[in-house]
Amino acid sequence: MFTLWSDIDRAIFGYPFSNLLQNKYSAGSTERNACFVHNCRMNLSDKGEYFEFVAELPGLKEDDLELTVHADRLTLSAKRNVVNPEDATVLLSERRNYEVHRSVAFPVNVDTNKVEAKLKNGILRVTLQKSAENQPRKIAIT
Amino acid sequence: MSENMVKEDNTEMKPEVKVQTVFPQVDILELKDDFMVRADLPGLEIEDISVSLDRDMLTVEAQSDVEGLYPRAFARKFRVMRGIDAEKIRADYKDGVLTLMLAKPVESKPQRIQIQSG
Repeated sequence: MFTLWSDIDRAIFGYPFSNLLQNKYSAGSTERNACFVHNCRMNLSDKGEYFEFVAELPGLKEDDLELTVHADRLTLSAKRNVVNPEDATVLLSERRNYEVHRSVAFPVNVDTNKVEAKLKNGILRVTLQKSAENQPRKIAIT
Repeated sequence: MSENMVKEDNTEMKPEVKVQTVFPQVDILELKDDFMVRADLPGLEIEDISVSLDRDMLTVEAQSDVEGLYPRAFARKFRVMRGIDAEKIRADYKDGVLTLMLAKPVESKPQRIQIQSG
C-alpha cells in the first residue's frame, strides 16, 4: 500500500490559523469545554483506480461533518459536541469538544462526481475515483 | 551439493508488527445511581472490546485494526469503589464511543442501623 502524507493542511490550517480559531471560540465562551482545533488521525492511500481517505472521528455523527471535494483536494470540517446528562457530576473530562479543519491534496485529479463517504463507528472512509485520464492502464506486451 | 550451502527458509518467519498501545480519552461522570465511563475507541465492534473487573480494578482493552490506518491497541485501567458488581455493568458502543454504566453498590447509600437494647 502506497501511503501519501500531505502537509498542505498544516501549511494552511496549521499553527497560526488554529490559534486564531482557538481564540475565536474561547474568547467570550463561558463553556467549560471551549472548542479547540484538533488534528485527527487520518491517512490517504493510493489504491490505483481510486484514493482512499480514512479519518478517526469518535463520537461524531454524519451531521457534524462537512466534506468538500475539489479535483485536486479534499477538505474536512467537523465539530464535536460532547453532551453530558443533566444531573451528572463530572469526575474526569478528557473527551473535549473540538473542531477539525483539514485538507489533503491529491497528486492527480479525481472525478468529483465519483466520491463516496461513509461514517461507521467513528471512522470516516471516503473513496475518490481518479479522473478518467489518470486511471492506470495495463499495457499489452506483444 | 554441500551441506553448508546458503539456503533461504522463511517458513518460520513472521514479520513483527509493532502495535502502539495508547490510553483512550475518557470521561467519568457520577450519576444518581451509576458511574458513567465513556471512552473514545474508534473503529471497533463491541465484540472487540474487553471490559473486566477484578475486585476494584476495571480494565478496558481493545485492539484496533482499521483498514487504511496503522493498527494500535487501547488499554486503560481504573480503580473503582469496592462493591461494584461486575454482573451489573452495562456496556454500549456507538459512533466509536464506549459507554459503561457501573451501578453504585447499595451499601454505599446511607443505611439506618437498628440499635437493640439489652
